[in-house]
Amino acid sequence: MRVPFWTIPVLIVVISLAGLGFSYMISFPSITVTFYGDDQTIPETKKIINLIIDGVTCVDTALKASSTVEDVDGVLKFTAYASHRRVEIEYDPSRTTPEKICNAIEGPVFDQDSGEILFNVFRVLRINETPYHNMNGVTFTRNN
Amino acid sequence: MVFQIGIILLVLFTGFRYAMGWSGTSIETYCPLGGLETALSLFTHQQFTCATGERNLALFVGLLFLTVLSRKAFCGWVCPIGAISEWIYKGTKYMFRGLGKRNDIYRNIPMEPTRKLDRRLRWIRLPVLLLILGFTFWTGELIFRGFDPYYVLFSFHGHDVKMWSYAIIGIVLLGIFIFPMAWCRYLCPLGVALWPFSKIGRLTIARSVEKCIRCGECSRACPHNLPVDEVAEVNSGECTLCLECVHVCPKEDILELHLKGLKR
Repeated sequence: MRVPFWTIPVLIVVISLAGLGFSYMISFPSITVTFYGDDQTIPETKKIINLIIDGVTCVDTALKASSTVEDVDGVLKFTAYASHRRVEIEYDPSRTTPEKICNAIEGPVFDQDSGEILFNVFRVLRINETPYHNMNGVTFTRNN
Repeated sequence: MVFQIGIILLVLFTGFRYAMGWSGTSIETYCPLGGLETALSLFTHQQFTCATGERNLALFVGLLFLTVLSRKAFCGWVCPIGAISEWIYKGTKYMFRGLGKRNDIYRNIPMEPTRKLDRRLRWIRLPVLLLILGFTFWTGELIFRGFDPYYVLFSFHGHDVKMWSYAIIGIVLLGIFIFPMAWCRYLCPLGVALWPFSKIGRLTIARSVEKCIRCGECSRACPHNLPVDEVAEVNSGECTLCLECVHVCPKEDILELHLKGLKR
């Protein structure tokens, strides 16, 4: 059957938009790190912050970023979506604050034996306490 | 061409925004090859490879659908490297047409290999694809980023782009200058991954054998050196539906776009 030539760009646009829409609906993390043991209970008052972090570009850098909050008391879970530079952190608000978490991310990580700075590369670009899909309208940019 | 320019401007805009820190979305997330690279890791380790994500995967699945419907239309209409290659090819042909009349040295530029040699050389893409998939899965890193023309040209000196990356891209562009569509035909890993799906593509360029005057303009214009004037339907897995053959055809209604499997 003969079809008009504009069928090609129309197909491309429709399928691309369908693909992008589908990718927006699904979301798989690059890494998930939990900082509580099986015997510990997660507080019901736990909160989640979403951060856009400059420096989180892949699984490797996401793992490095997770190590910056490893020692922050009250951080429960670190989930990174490296392709969006997005990090979701679950924390216990009675033990820590978003400010402390951001300071830890932006601060240096030291070698436990030598005390030397291992890396100091991350910068928090945006902070949001709303779910990810509402993040387009940025509500709060942190002042350093 | 307007469509291709639009895509390139979008990619440049995305790359620039990411480079300036205004956006968290890198141009890598729009590369469908990333979806193929990460698929194996996602199924075996439930984890994406390096900087790839769900968008790469969804776009790759979408691309497979598109290819089954409209062959390698992605390469001819969307891929920025395909567009640049096509423009270089057309520019080279235009530039050397006049020079070739005065000096034989220029007559053979761009150098079009014989169809038999061309078909054989296209198999180089297969080991390239296997090498990239194998090493990416093995290391968990996009270690060939620095060799990827799409990333090097549009990431605004992104992560892993070194000076040698530009040197390699320079060589690739020089190769495209001499051999038409050299990257797409002989090196592009996505091109070979799509080939089996493109081969069964439903949209096709059909030639009216009765009306055709056999001037050969269509075959000469084809960036992929396909013998359009020798077949009733272009069923090659390499056809990008770029419509160059249709544009240069001196007669109307000889070359048409057909949807296979449905009666007229």
